[in-house]
Amino acid sequence: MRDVSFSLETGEIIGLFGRNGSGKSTLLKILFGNIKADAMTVSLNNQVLKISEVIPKQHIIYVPQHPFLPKTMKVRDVIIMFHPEEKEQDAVFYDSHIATMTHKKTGELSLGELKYFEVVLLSQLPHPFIMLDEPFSMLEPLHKEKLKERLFELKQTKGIIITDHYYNDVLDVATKNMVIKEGIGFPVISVEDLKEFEYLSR
Amino acid sequence: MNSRPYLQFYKAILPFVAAFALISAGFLGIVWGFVFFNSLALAFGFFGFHSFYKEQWYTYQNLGITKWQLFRSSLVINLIISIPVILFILISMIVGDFSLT
Repeated sequence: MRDVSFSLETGEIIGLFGRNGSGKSTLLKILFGNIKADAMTVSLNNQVLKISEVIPKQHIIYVPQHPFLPKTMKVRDVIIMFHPEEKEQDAVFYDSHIATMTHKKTGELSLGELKYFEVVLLSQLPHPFIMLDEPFSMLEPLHKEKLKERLFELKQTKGIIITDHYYNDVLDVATKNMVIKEGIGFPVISVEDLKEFEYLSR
Repeated sequence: MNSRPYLQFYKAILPFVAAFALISAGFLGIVWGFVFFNSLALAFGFFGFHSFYKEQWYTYQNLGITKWQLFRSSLVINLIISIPVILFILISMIVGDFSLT
């Protein structure tokens, strides 16, 4: 990755595109502080942010592509572990889709159920930004729609970055988009632009 | 402070830590097994967690907990568990019916 820059505010969803190996996931991991970049600058409210502070100061949530919750824990125990305060617990417990699965272990949930649960669970955390790596992959249409609804609600309080090869789903929810090609980030608006940058075939 | 994530992490690494300490005790004696329980076994536990549950680091990191904080908390829990054993060894040594080998 050579030259990628963007800004993100509360109320915005950035759709991040790029072919396999273009560095989408790497970019997210760099922003989360799990991979070091040779050079980069991150600012939060016009203050330069130390990347080593992203995790301890809870600036950004990262929802990875693969399941990351302890598989042997029950959904209700995970909710309590993430949210010791009753108000945040209730916001997750009383979600109509999650209420039916609280007795199950996270390892017993379907991929769609788990992804939806992960997003709802993490969205109650205080971080101002959230990054989702391939949230639509392998989801059935019903779960996709639920997830999109949740993202629309979530952007009222957070800035969101989404990367996924299901470009139509991303374009549905994103307020602005970017494609990474040969290490450089380019703003894109439409499917035609994605073809222009050879992310899609003509 | 929310202690649940720290306890959950400790629960996840404990099988690795205990296995390392027990094997050490089997080969080198109970005291060395105990010493390793509070040192190398903990590092082995981290290695085991990283090898088998790598994605779960994100659970703790999204809660604002770094790997270093998890290491320190696990060390503290290990030491708390060890206090009764330390007392037992010290009392046994004073009384004189406990051998270090």
